[in-house]
Amino acid sequence: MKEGFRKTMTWLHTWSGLLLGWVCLAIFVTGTATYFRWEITRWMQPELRVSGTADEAVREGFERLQTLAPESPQWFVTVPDERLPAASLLWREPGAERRFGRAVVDAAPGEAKGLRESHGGEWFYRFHFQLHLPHPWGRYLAGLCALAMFVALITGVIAHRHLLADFFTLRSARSGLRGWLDVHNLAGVLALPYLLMITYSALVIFAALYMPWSRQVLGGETGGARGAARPTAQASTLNWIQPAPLQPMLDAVVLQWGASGRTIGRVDISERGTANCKVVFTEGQGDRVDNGGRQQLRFDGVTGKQLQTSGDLPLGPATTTNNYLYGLHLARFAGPALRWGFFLLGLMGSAVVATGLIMFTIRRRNPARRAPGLWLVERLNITFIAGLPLAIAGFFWANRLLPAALAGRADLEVVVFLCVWLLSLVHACCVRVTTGWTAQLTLTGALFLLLPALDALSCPTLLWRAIVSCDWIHLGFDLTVAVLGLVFLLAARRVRSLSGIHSRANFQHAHVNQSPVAAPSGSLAKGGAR
Amino acid sequence: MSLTLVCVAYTALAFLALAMDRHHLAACGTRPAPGRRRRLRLAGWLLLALSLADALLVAGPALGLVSWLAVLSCTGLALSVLLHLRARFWYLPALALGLAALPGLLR
Repeated sequence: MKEGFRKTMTWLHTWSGLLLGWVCLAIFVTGTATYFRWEITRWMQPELRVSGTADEAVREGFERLQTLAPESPQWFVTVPDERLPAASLLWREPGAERRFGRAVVDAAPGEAKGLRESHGGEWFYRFHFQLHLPHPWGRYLAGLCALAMFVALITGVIAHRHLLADFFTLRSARSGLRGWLDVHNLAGVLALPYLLMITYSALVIFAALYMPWSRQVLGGETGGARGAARPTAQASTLNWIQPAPLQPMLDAVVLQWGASGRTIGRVDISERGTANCKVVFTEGQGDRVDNGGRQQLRFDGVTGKQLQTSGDLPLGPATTTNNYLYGLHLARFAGPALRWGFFLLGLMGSAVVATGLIMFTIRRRNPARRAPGLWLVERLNITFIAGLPLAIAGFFWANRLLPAALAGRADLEVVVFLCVWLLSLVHACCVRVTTGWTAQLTLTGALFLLLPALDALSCPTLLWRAIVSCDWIHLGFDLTVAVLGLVFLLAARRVRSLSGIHSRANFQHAHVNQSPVAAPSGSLAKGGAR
Repeated sequence: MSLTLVCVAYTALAFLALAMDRHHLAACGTRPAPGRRRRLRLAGWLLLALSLADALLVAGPALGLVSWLAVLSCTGLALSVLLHLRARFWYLPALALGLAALPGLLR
């Protein structure tokens, strides 16, 4: 009975892990990159010069919006923090429900000229949950992946339970499968709290989209804002009511919050041009874990008078839990050290998924009796494990190689990303498996390793400025990609030296020579092969 | 998140690893006697509790718990990699880090 249960769990672990494993890997990798979203943006838009305080940036943002989109019904200003001290502006295009304009403003006026167009870290953020698919489908697929991942985690804990005794153990990967299994287990067990948190909170974030009735508990505001943009009343140019100037409101906010050390996180100006125009200042998250319950100051957008603050309403337990889980998932509270910790944990999560996918193929590699579909699984493994980082490297290279003044270059970077990924799939399908792995891993490693050199060649003055001003965001990016490049080159060397083991005969030979401790996992390997 | 937290967590995990047959064998050449194993395990859990207390006191309940778990995962990874690379000397950094954490704990 008990054995039967574990076998079922192992089966479920294998298949829930495999079927959506590739998409899960893509989500994990881009999500891990998203921890450094603003840092990536700053590297990809090196002309951005950042200085000054939050208040100055908001002031500048308002002025810029006044010239860019004077008749837009809705403005959003997201306020800089120490990671991206440049206000990002978003406005709804007049007369369009779902069309938005964007711009970034740095605090020093006039410096933003010649800013190259790029999605920056925003691309990873968007891809992480929308997967570059049309509107609701990417989010549905991401939710399905989170569900599969959650199932794989729970069944994995049951299936690999006995391996908890092997804690802290990493054996040499001389025998192929054992090495991968050790990495899979070690990363899975060590990062288990993180993995459970990130998968569960991923489901909770879009709960209102997957289960629309949950809005009744969470309240219209949080649920509606995430599932879909709320429609706003549109004012036509005929009955346009001139909104009040924003600067006095900003002064009032700075005066009220300055004493208690609060900073402005974002400003929403809704229903501009109508009598209902509202201006809402929301405080920044700071190092608080929960994503909600922040203080807000509201103003009437027509008269400019301050309205009664409604942010002090007590939140229900469901909303509070939701806010904490949402905040945990985004990890905006994390300072530099903790952020690196989360980045490492994200890499460990990616490693768990990747090694799981690799083990699936190693266990089934039998030259005498080839399992149908294995060909495709091997190729998809190459495309996602080696090809996705290659596409990311291509994305960064495109950022430096495309002319800075080229129109529409932000979308071109994305096209390069997708094309490189597609080429990686084509290449993986055309060559032998080992060749596919080594070639793509080597290329990925080389591209990442040479990225700092490209950075130095393509914009030497900007790099020099970063060195002189000790801009650790720019330099840290260059160092990180160089280290990543080395890791990929090492992985390529490893695959080359392991390639002899890939035949079934060698695998069995290595299997016989295992120490007795390895026996249970050996039987697991056979159990999983069904 | 403090450096003290990282040091104490690492030392705690090192003690717990030392209480395991495989890693004790690698470090000292013998399996631990039952009494020794119990003492090592106890020391490990006590240090773990100490690191949790440090995290909660420094950063408050919410951020403290999150950073404690993150630090445990990351130091666990560091320890495992070190165990794998330097099977004989891996506990030395644990001792050094434990000593380094002392001033932070006493403040």
